[in-house]
Amino acid sequence: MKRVLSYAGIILLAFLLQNNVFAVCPIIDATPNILLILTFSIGFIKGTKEGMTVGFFCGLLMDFAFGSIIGYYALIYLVVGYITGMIGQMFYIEFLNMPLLLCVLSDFIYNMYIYTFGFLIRGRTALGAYMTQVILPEVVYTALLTLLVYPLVLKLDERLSASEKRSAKRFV
Amino acid sequence: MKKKKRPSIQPKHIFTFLAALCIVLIIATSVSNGGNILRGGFNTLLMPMQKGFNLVGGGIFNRADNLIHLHNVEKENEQLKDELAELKEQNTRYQLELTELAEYRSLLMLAEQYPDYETVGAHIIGKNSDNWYKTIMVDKGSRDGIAVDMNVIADGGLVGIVTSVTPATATISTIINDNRNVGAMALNSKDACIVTGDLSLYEKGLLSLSRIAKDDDINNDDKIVTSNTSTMYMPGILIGYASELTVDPNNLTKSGYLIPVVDFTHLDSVLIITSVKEGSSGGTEETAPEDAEGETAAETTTEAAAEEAGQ
Repeated sequence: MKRVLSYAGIILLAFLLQNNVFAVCPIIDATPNILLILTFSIGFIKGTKEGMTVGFFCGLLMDFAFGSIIGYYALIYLVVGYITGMIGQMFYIEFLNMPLLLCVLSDFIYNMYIYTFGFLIRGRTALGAYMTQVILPEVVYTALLTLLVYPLVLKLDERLSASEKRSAKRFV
Repeated sequence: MKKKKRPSIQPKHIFTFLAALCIVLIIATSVSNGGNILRGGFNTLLMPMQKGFNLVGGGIFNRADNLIHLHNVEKENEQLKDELAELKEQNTRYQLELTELAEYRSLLMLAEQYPDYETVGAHIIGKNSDNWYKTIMVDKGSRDGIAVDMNVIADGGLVGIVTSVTPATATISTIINDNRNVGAMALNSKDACIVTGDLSLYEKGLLSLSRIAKDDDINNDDKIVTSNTSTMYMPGILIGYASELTVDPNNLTKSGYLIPVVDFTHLDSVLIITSVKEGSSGGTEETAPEDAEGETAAETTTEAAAEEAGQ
């Protein structure tokens, strides 16, 4: 229960920061995707199930606020959560650059999805231009924020696990 | 760490279920507009929070931005003063001509073609953080009389069009959005053209201007305004200035770029025109094909160029 509430809390916080602060700020030319960081972090740390649930709700939030159709963002966040969850199960040992690698991978998958279904199907083929103007800046900013957000998610998870263990003991 | 609490459903089944749910939702909401009910409740709930975050965070960032840009401001100030003097002089001349025009109009009993539109001011509280779509959210909704398809202006220029409303918020698709077409015309010659948002031009601050018949009298630096024949936009709203016009390879049409009057990166409040163009389709879809067709149908003079639709 505590976990569900904290997840809901951080998703909401990330959403508000992302859409109502960073996106509106004129200094930053690409908005970092904090919801995506949450999705792959939780997916990687906790596995597919939690990763995709968190992803699904992150996507739904985006759909409700900005999407013209509902489910468009939810689907890709879901997929990212699932894939990173599977990667998390495969690479049990956590080495230093894993979050960054995951960030680049998920952001790339995410942007290719939007490009394919939002742009390519309308005949916009200038992938090169989109790569340098949209995708790369976003990946860089998101990677920078990953360095900050991932450790926080890790810490939160540790704390939640500890309290879960304690309450489990109490019941025994 | 991994303890099994109960025999649970396999993750891949949950995944399949949720993915299928997404796809069903995508199909359902793209066919009908059922998503608006969900969206309404949700956005009403979140609005105060969004506004608060925007106020605090935006305030901090704007201050930083101001400091960064301070050194440009002085130079700009000088320039603007010169411009202002020039415009004042021009303005008086226009005012004289305007009174003359009013006289002629009353003589001809012609209705005013470009009435002053009633507007409602709104603050931008959020933008789509996705770097692909340029949609913004404002703090006025159906409660304040905002409806879908209302035009949005700022700085004397066209910003975009309302695509969805909830009681407390409205989402606006800006004209720089990659899938937006605006039926436009040159202010002087009344020749038709189409203004299209193009993400690959966004970095340069330009929009694409196309489907101008080759012999039409549209030149660089001409004012481009929304067209009388546009199905979704009120006539006579300034969009920007034409630039770098060249004849297309097909030798039938001209195309080029449009420099918008609105500074989209520093936008923080907008005006929403509270009347909707008659004959507006009422469709809220942001997808390109419908819009493109809707606008093309209106653009009879440039049918020759219709073959490049979707370019």
